[in-house]
Amino acid sequence: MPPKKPQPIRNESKPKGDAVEGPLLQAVVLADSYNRRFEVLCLDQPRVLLPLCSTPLLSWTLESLALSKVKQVFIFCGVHADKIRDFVASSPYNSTLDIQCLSSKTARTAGDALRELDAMHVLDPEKPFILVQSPIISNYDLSKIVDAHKKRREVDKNFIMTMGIGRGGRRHPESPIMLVHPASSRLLHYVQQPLSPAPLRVTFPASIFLDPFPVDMDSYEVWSGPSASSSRGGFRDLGIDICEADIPALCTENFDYHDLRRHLVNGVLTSELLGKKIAVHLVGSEDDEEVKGDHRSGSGGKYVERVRDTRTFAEITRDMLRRWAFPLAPDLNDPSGVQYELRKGNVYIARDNVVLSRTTTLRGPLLIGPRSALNHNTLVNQSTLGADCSVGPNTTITTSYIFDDVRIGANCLLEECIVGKNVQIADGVKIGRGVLIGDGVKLGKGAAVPDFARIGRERYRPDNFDSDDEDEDEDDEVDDPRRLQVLGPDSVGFIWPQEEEEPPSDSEDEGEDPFEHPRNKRLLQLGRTLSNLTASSASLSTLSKASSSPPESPMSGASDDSLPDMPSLILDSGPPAAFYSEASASIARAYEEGHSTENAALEMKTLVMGYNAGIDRAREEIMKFLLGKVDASGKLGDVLTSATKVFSRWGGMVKEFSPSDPTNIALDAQLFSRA
Amino acid sequence: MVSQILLKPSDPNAKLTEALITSLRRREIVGSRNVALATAAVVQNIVRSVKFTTIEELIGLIKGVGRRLVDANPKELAAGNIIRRILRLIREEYSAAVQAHLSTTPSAPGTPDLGPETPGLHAPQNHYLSFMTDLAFSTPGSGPSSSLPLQRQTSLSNFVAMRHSRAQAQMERAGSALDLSAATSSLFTSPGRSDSADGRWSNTNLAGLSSRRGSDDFGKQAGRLKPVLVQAIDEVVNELETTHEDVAKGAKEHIHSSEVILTLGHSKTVEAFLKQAYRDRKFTVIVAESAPSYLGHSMASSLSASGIPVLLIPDSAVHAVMPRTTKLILGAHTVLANGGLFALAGALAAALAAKAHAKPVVVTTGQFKFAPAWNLYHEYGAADLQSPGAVLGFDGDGSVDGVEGVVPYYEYIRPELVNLFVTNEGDHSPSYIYRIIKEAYDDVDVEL
Repeated sequence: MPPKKPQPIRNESKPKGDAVEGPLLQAVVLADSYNRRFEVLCLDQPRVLLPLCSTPLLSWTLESLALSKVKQVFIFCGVHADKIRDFVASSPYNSTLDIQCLSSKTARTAGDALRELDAMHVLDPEKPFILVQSPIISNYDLSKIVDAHKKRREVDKNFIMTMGIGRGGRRHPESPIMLVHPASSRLLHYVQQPLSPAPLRVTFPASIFLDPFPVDMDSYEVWSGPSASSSRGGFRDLGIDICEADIPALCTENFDYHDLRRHLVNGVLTSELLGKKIAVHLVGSEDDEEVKGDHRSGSGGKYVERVRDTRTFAEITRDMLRRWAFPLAPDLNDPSGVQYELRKGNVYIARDNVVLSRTTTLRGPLLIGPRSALNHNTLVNQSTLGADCSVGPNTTITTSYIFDDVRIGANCLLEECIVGKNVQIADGVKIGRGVLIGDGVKLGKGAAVPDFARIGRERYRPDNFDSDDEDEDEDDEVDDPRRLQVLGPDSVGFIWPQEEEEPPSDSEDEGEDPFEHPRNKRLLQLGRTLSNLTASSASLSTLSKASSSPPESPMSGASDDSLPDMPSLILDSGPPAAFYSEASASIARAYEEGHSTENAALEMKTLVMGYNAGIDRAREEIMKFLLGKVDASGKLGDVLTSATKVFSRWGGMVKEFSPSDPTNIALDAQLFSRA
Repeated sequence: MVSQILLKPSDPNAKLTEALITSLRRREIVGSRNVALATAAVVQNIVRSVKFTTIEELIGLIKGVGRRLVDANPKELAAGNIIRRILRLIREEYSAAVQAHLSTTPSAPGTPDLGPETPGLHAPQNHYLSFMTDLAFSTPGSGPSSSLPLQRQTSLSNFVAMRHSRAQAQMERAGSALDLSAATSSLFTSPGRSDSADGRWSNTNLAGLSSRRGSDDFGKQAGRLKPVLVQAIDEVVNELETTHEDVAKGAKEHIHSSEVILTLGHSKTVEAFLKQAYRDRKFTVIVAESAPSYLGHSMASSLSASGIPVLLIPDSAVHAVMPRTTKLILGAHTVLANGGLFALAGALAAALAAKAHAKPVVVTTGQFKFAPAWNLYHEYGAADLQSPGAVLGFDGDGSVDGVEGVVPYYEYIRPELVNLFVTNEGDHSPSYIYRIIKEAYDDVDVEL
């Protein structure tokens, strides 16, 4: 039967406050990302309204939540709150869900959002709610996590939060390392582990293992992200939390909680005063007891992902087109009501006046929105095109995500990019990998956009940009030489600085978010490959090894190299910084005042005892100092004589500190020279 | 029939409809029977509570709801089938009432005091169609007369005038019909009894009513028909609920002792069919496990729980065991008008294997799965492709991007691969399905 056009019969509004049977499940969606990853695309609209497969992310999120039997949704909006309100008012979800938009201009972090949420008193303090931090795509019934959470709370009232954890998935630059007790699904420790620069060691606070010593310590497990080297999938944080009312209250009490993971989770876990616990819930782990009747969902294939950055945006789009999130697929369940025809090879074509030339080549998975027109000899490969797009002849579009109303000229080449709404691309434009083009940009004829460039309709504004001095720099942008050189004279748009060039955000806390490290942030971009990283990370990690924390012994160093993305689990985090300063001061004094090696070594040993530092650290420190005294500026012969001079005088001291294995000295020397 | 009234948003029915649409869309309700029951329930609620003055309004409204239900999940054709069936019943009740009204003018319809008057003036006009419908009843091989559908008892007793008119119409028809089924003739002999089994088959076309003018003022009072209409839908629901038993009634005619039956998946119809047959015959069942849904597992345990010897085999062994089987019994998701059907993935392989080994293929299905659709199998998406997660596993190794998984849930089986359809209303060959569909639904409803 030929499916028909969607019916525009929609209920306008829904009387609020009618009794809903069953427990009212509430969810909070944070519409703002509190980071700048999508910023260039988000000039006119919030991130949650960006279209994924031609449907706003918010629609998919609401759909996922509705699938989880959520009845009431609070959308916490930051910027563009009016847009979200309009969208919600006109969306069909308005009739099936109770959606309330809360807006706040002042919230700058997720912690702020929770504080304001607490102040608004909209949540039911008796019941847990689902906190969704970023737009999610899920075919998993999240209410199962809620049920498990309630069950856990019956046993132990101190569980105030349950984090959803998924198995497997792809590698992602933002993945945590968790110490978990699986039997009670209690989370003991949570560390963020950026992929680059990869930290070499994970520190678990001793308090976990002491006071009293856990008898079931053998059953503790370390869960970390999926890695390239292991064939078994790892664990990933889904960004979906089941929170009790205590969580917003805690945020109110601790005004320095900003990041939910780094501050809130770690705060709760490390605070002994609080005595609260956090649980983890592995998605799909409850399937064993599930009734067999629910066969259509299958045993596997629970898909829960969130859009965190342009990289995941692309990945999730592809997954969606490959029907991983079934029944969330464009042809069956498109929340915006557009009907798509599914053709072989996961090719989705809207059933609304799409014009394809006979010479158009389509390689799935791809999606072409309503009323789009593709001219002859176009090649579309694993991409999505929004509504009302037109593509000129001989143009190739590969793994790109193009939003609505985009005009693309002839002989263009688009490769792995995201193109915003109303963008006009003239003939012969070449767009490189990872490029983000904001709404309303015009690219002139023959422009060649370099890889990973970001082009916005307005100029880039740093974090501390003050909108007052906006009009002053209005005129000097015209003669920006780089802009002209790259985009050509006909273009309308500004090249934004590369993400890694961006000045680091001025967060006042000393523990900078490791994921916001520029090197890690690059990896969040569309088009960056992580497989290259494993090759290059060896050099990266050895560099950081030498500079930050040298390995304790050759053994641990070797194991690190074999598993470059899995830091060695050394529970001893080394002596405090005071040891290093005292040690170097002591050696410097001995060197300048000409102490005997025996006396200097004795003083050093006292320090080692005092700080419980271990002689390896002391030897490293000595080597560092001595090698620093070697004059390495001259010719090779001069360097050698200078080194011989230093080590004939002070070499005995190093020997004192390497009782067993003299190769350690060589290793230390090597580390020093690398640093 | 252009007039359409829409449900007001505040109407609880609108909410019910919306809820059904979303749960269809989200695949919370799956399976032909569940969809059919849910659809019937919603329509019944609408008929019960909505205010309508003319029957066209009601029909337009139900059609609109049906269209949206079909759009919500175009692969669940049962929703559309039930809507068409109900529409047909409504028209029929209405026309019967109109006849009664005309024959008893000027008294108002529904007054149950009128004796049988001469209904002759209207009978010939539905003569041609009634001839065909009678034919449907007398299909060779149709079950015993007791299994005839829709025993319309209560609705007619409520509405005596209509009953009379209908009984008279029956008499008229009986004179000209070629072949009278047992039920019809019993009715013919005792027109006072209220179980006229065939009310819904009196195929009166509203538009074709010759006495339009007479029905105009009557049409204004169509609201009075409400209890009858509600009851008519009740019958549809009852029929749906007893589908499995009705299909299974003739089971022992189809299965002989010591047969080896191959089936796959977990069709409730097949399950009831086999269990019923096992009361009289002793046979063995081989169940293919039907990966990746593994519905065969639950089928096997259910059958063995009732004492049937069961062998569970992997799907790959279907061809290998085929020489040892005597029959392949399949359940259907939807039967199309050409006699082809959609069945659980794996059924096509089994049907082809059966063909290769010249084993009969029997499809057990309720007639509510017969859909007036022909071209669905041309669409790639009609196979209802599922998430590759069931076969690949998102939570396994990280090889998500490298492999493309294609996991159809249904397969289209060509009519020539099927030997027999065993339905709740008799057994039919694939070539006859189009006829049943034509008779079951009004032509105007084929496109909802």
